[in-house]
Amino acid sequence: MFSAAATGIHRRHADDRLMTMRDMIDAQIESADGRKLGRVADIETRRAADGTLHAAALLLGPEAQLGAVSARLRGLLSRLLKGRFDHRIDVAEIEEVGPTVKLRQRADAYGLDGADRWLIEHVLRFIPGNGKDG
Amino acid sequence: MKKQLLGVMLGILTATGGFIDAGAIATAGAAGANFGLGLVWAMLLATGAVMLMVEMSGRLTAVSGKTYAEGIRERFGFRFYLVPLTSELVANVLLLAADLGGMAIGMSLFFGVSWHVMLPVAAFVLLAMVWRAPFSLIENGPSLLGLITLLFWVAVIKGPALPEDVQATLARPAFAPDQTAEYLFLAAAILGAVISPYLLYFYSSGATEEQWSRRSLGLNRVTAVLGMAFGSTTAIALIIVSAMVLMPKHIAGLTLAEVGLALSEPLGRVGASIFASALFVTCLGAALEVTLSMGYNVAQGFGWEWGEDEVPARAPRFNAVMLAFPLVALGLSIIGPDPLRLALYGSAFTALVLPISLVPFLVLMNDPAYLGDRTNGKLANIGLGAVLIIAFVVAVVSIPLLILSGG
Repeated sequence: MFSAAATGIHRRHADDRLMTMRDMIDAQIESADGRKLGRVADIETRRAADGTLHAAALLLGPEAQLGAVSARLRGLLSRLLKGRFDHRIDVAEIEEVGPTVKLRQRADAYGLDGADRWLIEHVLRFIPGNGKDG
Repeated sequence: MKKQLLGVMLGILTATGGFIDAGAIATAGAAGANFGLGLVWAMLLATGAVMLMVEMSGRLTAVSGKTYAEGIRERFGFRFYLVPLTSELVANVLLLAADLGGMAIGMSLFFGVSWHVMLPVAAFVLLAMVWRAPFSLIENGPSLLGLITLLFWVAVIKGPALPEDVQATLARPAFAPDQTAEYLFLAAAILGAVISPYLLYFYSSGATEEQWSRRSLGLNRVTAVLGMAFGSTTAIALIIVSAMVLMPKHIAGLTLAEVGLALSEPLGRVGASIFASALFVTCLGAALEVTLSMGYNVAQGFGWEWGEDEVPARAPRFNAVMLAFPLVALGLSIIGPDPLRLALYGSAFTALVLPISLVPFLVLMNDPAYLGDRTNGKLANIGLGAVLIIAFVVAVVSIPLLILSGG
C-alpha cells in the first residue's frame, strides 16, 4: 500500500484517505485528450530504502491482465505474444487518480494503440466507410 | 414542454416495439400452441421484472455516469467480470443466431426462397447497420417499425372465439403429467426471453450515448413502465392467437413459420405479410441490440474506446468485436436447429444464468458509491430478486427433466 502524497499524485478529493492499490487496479486509464487507453491490470511496486513499498508503474495488456488470473496463463501468453501488446506506464505520468486514472500527456505519447493499429491495418481498412481518413 | 412530450412518446414507442424479438415470438407462440393461456402468468411476471430492470439500468447510468459493464469491472474486479461475460457470450450467440434466423425467415416469406439462402443477407444487413448507422437510428428505427406487432391484437379480435376450456387455462393451467417438463421449460424460457440481460448493457450504454443525467430520471421511469407494458400486451396477443389457431390443430414440433400461420389465419392474405415484416423488423432490432451490447460489454470491461456514433477507425476494437460476433452467430444459425428451437434454448439458458447477470447488478444498484441517494428501494430489490429466483429454479428443474424425457 502506498499513500498518494508519497508518490506526488494529485488526488481529486481533498480528504486524507489513503489511496490503496486496490483502488487503482481495474481503473479506466484515460489520456489528457480523453482517449480511453485500457484498464489497470496490475501494479509494479518498488521497495524504497526505508523498506516501504511504492507503486512504480501501471501495467496493462493481455499478459498482465490474464497473468492476474493465472500464473500459468501468463507464462503461455508471454511465449506467444513476447510482450508486444503489454505496456508499462510510470507513476510519474499520472495526473489524477480515482475510478478513472488520468494521464498527463495525449494518447499518441504513450504508443498504446498497437492492437488498434494492427486491426486497422489488417482488417478494418478493407471495409468501406471505416472513417480512417475522416 | 412539447419537445419533452415528444421525447416521452418516442421512448415509450421504442420500448414497446423493442419488447418483441425472436425469443418472445418463439416462447409466446409455443406457449399458446401447447398450453393455451396457461403461461400468460409467466409473461406478466416477466414484464414486471423487466420494467424494474430497465428502469434500474437507466438510473445507474443517469446518476453514476457508469455503464453496467464498467460497474462490474470496477466494483468486482477482472476475475469476477469474466463470469457474467462468459454467460452473456453463450446466451447472446444463441439469441443472435435465432434473430438472424428470424430475419431470414421473414425475408423468405416475402421472396419465396429458402430461409437458409437469406441467412447471409440477414447477416449483411445487420453488419452494415452496426458498422455505420448512428445510435439513434439503431434504437428508434426498428422499434418504430416494430409497432406493426400491435396488429397482433387485430388478429385476436378477428380470430375465432376461444373455447371455454382454453379460456379456463388462464387461471388454471391444464396439461398431461408427461407435459410437466415442457410446461416448466417454457415458463423458464418466457422469463429468460423477456428479462434479457443484454438489455442491461444496451440501455446503460445507450443512456451514455444519449448523455443522460439526473434530469432524465422521470423520462426513464415513464418509458420503462409504459413501454414494457405495451410491449407485453403484444406478446400476450401472440399467445392468444396461437391458442386460438394452433392449439386445436395439435401442431407439434413448432417452427417460426407455423407461428406465422397462426397470425395469418384470422388476418387473411395480408396476415402472412404482416407476420413476415413483423418478424424481420423485430428480429433486426433485437439482433442490433444484442450485437451492440456485446461490443459495449467487452470494450467497457477492458477499457477500450467505444461509441456507436464514433467512426470505426476511432474505436477499432469495439467495432472488431461487433463484426466478429455476428459471424460466429451466423455460423451457428447455418448449422444449428430451427431458429425457434434456438430461441427457446437461448431463452431457457438465459433464465438459468439470470442470477449471474443480475445479482452483481442488484449489488451495484444498492451501492451509494454509485447511486448516491438514488439506490434501490426495498420493494424493487425484493421484486426483481424474487423473479430471478423463480426463473432460476424453474430452469434448473425443467432443463434436466426435458433432456431426460428426450424433448
